[in-house]
Amino acid sequence: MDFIFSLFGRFHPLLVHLPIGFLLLGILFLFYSGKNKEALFPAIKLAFLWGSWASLLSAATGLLLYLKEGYTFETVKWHLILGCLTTISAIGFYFYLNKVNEDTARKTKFFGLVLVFVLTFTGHLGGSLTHGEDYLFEVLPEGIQEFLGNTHSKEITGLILGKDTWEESLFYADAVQPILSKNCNSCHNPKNNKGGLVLTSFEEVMKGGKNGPVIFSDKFSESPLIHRLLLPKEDKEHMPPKDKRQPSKEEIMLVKQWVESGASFEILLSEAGIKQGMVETFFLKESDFPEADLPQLSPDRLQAIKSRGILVEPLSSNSNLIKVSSINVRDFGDQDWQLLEPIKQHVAILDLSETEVGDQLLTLLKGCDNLTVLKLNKTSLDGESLGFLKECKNLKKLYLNKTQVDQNALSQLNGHSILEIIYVFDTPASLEKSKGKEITHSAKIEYGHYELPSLPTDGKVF
Amino acid sequence: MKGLEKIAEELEKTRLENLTRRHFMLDCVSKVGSLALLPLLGSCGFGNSNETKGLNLSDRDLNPLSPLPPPSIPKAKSVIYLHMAGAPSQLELFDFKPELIKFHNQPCPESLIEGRKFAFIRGVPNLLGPQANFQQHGQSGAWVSDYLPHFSKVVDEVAFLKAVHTDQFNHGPAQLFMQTGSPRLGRPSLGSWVTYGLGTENQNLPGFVVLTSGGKTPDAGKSVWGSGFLPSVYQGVQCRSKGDPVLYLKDPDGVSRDLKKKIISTINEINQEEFERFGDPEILARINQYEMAYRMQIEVPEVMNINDEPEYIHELYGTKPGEEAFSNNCLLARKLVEKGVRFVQLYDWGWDSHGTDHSTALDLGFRNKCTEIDRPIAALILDLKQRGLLEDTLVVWGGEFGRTPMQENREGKTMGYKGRDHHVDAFTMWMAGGGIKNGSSFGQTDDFGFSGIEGRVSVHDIHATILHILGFDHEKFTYDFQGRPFRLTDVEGEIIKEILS
Repeated sequence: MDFIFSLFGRFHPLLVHLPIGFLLLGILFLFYSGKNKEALFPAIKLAFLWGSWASLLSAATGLLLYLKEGYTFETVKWHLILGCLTTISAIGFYFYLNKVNEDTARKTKFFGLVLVFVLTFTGHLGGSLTHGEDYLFEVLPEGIQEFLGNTHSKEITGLILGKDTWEESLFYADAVQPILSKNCNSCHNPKNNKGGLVLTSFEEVMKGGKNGPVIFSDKFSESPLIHRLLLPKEDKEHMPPKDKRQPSKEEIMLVKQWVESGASFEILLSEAGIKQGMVETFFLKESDFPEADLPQLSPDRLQAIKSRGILVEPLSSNSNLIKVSSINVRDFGDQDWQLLEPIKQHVAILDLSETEVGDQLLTLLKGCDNLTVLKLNKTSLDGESLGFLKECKNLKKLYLNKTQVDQNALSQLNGHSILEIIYVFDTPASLEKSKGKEITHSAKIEYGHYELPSLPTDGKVF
Repeated sequence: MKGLEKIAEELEKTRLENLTRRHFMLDCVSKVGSLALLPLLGSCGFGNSNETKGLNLSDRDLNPLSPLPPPSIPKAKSVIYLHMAGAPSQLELFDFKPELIKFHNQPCPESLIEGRKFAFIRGVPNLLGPQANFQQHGQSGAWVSDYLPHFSKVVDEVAFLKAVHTDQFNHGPAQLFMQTGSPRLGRPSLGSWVTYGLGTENQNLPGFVVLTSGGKTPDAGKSVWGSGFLPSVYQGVQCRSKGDPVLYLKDPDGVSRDLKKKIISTINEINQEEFERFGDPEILARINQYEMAYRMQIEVPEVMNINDEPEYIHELYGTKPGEEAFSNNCLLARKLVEKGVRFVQLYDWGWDSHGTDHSTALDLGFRNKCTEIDRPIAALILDLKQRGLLEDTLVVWGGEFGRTPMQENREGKTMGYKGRDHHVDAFTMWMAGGGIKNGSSFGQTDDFGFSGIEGRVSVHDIHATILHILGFDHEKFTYDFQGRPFRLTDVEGEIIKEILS
């Protein structure tokens, strides 16, 4: 029969609207009863009588909800206190109204105001409990949210380990907890502890839930914490529930390893026999592009460039580095660079292939501090000024296919510390290569001209 | 004078009559009707309800194909998808099963096929050993059969997925599933999603081009490159592989380019008025297609003409100029990607090796199909590599499912040729290029190659991975339709991190 209490408890969000309505009505009558003041006085009393009963009922169901649904006292504290205060005030005021006459009652408008305030605030707290703290906030336009000081991003990043430091990281605090925070904490936190289980700290994890511990200290490998993670998704016992986002297999593996290694707080990742291969997916991926702190580009400036037909777009929707391409403006020449000059710090990918640019352009690229990929395929470039590209400290990939560069020109870039590869397919340089000449270079040079020698089976029909 | 007034009065009366009737017939009906249909229309992209999170669609008002940055920095910006329609046998190409040689011609263990349904196999079939000779190749030591001698030289550029599985064992639904994420009609194809999300860089070419070879188009029909519920401007543009790539692209005799321009801008002005009146995005798509067609007149003949390519490139690909050939399509794919086309989809038909006749026998017709694609795919990878295009192009190869380790016994009879039935449990696909870990292999099948025992990946996983490489989070890349956001990967899909660089 225990379910009766749970059921009643769940009527709380419905019933709370009754006292709010009755009490507000009573207070409104108190303020604006129009011409028939006397006539309405009994109605005020009646409103407060009903309000008192409704408050009592709400408080009772609220208490049941609190006891049955795993809320902690910390979470509901103020809602509970204010709710009780409302109930007591309503009842008190009803008895007061019964004692005094109408004129005296009218003088208690201040009390009415206070009660309105308490009611609103209690209701708001209750709403936050049901719908979440962000319920009202999250529908506001982003600008207003920022203005109101919303800086926290709702994304929980999960586990990130340092490539060089992971071995020294604490297994629980640095690896397991972030995994639990990302995958489990939305239901297992101090506010909302489903099954009585909280997974936000080591102590709570060891404590377990209402069905007992989730880690068996005598038989680690049979601990429910990992057992339920490993069950097939369709199994009723599987955690997280199948309609929730599932942890990756690497995450499950790590949690399993931690429990099986003895679920200790002090153990380091390296001490628990974790190999690099098992944690590689948690390393922060190094970006191909530099991390640059650059001012926002003005839309007007970009518009001016776009109206010349040049393609300008950010590398990604939240990047301030841009990619510039002349794919739709084949008549782009050296003189057009002046359009790009003011934004050159932002340019990470520059593709001026099949345009009229020549060696002069290379001399202008100084100051392109974030230029990472430069494509100048099918231009008349002969590479005399390639040395100027040494100024582009972040240049990693250089495309010079079908240009007039030879190997001597390329040697100007020998020693560029970050340049990884130069493509010179179909150039004098690749022709020299086919004749046996090949310079040594700090960067890889891709000469191309691959062949697939014919085989006896070619053209054979079975 | 009085007559004139009378005429004016009459005119006004007629105008009002017309106005009321027209007003009622057109404006009221359409508006009252749309009021009733508002929730429905809203979900069809009417108005501005079709927001996709993470994409800034404001640039799209004028040009639905204008390029957009992806939500995160991409590893590749274009895709070449080589789909072998009919489903090639993994057991003759990549998935070497020495155990299967031992059990050749033995009845298949019943435990393996108990309760299973196959498209044609009935009763207990015999196991069929690999019909090709296998060898390890490259530094990665990938197993490739002697059916693909040229391809085996580029295995170090490739990442194999050895245990892909699907849940459709008929060609049409399986192709739809592979290309649209759903075995039923109506979903946008992978290429449409990508073109919708990223637009296209070259404004003179379509963003999504489809080329077919092998004599037929895929069984699933044109829906495999359809745009589903996305605006139809994002559907694949099928170019003919033989003759004029796009019909009627040339101006007819006596029609100058200026005249053509006038015609098109007039039509588009009318269409624009129509759009302002009804707000149907399909009208925008049509306007855009007229303009695109006009611009394509210059660029397409150039890019779709392989005759200007140097001789050694023709030799590399083994092209057959003037014919409809997979090799020509591979070369075209490279040219298109080089010109900034976002998604090039190749379909090669004729891989359905049941063993019913010579052309579908694993050691005959199938082997000829392999020869047809062997040099072109190796050439495509090398050609992309030497131009540096492989760095930001993702190449995907695969069929719609795999083939059984058992020999097909259609209607329970032993068949004259060696063939295999459709198989959904395990087959091989590979990817190469941007964001892919070269020379890797993921997944493993059991001793008979029947099911994946390690590293099984689903069709949704493959889609999630492709979108990831292009800079999308497949869980957030959605389109609102019929009142709910749709994803390419529905509610599934995990990125296959093991093959990512």
